[in-house]
Amino acid sequence: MKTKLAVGLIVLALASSALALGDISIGPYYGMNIPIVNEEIKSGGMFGIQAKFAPISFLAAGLHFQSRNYGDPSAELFYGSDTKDGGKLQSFGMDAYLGKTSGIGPNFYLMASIGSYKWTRDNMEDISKTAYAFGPGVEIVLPINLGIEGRGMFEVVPTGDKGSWKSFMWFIGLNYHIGLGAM
Amino acid sequence: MKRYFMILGFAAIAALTVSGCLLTIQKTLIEDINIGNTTNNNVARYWVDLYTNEDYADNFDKIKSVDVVSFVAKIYNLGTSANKAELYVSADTIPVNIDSIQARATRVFVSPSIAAGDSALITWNESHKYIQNEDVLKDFVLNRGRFWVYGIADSTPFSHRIIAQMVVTITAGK
Repeated sequence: MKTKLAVGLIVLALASSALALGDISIGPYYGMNIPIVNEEIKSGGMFGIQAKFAPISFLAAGLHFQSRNYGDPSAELFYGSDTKDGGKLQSFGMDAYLGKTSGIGPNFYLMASIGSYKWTRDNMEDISKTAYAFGPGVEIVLPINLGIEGRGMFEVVPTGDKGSWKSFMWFIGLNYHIGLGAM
Repeated sequence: MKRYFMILGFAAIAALTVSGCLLTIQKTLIEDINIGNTTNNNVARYWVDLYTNEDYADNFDKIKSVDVVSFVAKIYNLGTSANKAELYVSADTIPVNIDSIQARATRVFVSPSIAAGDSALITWNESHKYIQNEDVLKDFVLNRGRFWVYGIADSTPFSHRIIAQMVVTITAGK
């Protein structure tokens, strides 16, 4: 009896592991980007699409596209209060995840990403930079292959001369899981 | 697992702190540029001393980069013909006449054409369209802090009244 129970538990564990392998997920997200100590831009909305691939349980890789709107900065000038265009930003990037990103239930992970960043503003030259972000996230994957994800990120964009632009970002997203991991 | 996350998080923050990335801020400075009345026979200039600007004085030794410089301005064309107002900058004291200014100073601003008797307001959002040689301006802000600004026009005769401010965004920190 004990042997059958042990074998049964081992088979169950192996099956669970197998089900957690090879998960692919894709989905949109929406959130906010909040510049930190930056008088050149204000907070704005963020929309993105991401894809994740988890070949093994605790490692995953992904790609993302983000589109952000910055709020307009304001200043008191000699003719009164004025604003200028905060601009729009688009970013393509690669993500790496340490932690659990697949499997039914709550999955916690730490993410780091690198992205190519293009900032466009009225009457000004476009600015292209490399952006780095990291932060924790959680995704609750439902048995219907859908996951609801929330993530907070700290982004640093080095500007040269040891300076940088920094932002805090958060989003809530919905992912569709394809593969064994979410089944 | 939680311990690994914390170690990784602290390692990332430590790396960014060591590289200086976390300790910088973006600050917008506003400096009056009161050129006033300027004509082809009596060119006006204004001495900019950013060290008297509280925000600059607090940060000048911590400036990592000068990110954006522009001029907002209200320009009155008091003359009899349409022309464009121009601002030049020079770190050296040079003769205050049009030829010397055009030869020895750097043009950093050209307004749109303003009809005789008319005026133009260059707002903050528009101001970037009219900036020239921004790298020179950035260098003056970053490395000098004190310089002359001259007000002339693209054609003579001219008679302008120029009220302006220089708006500068810097990245500063330890």
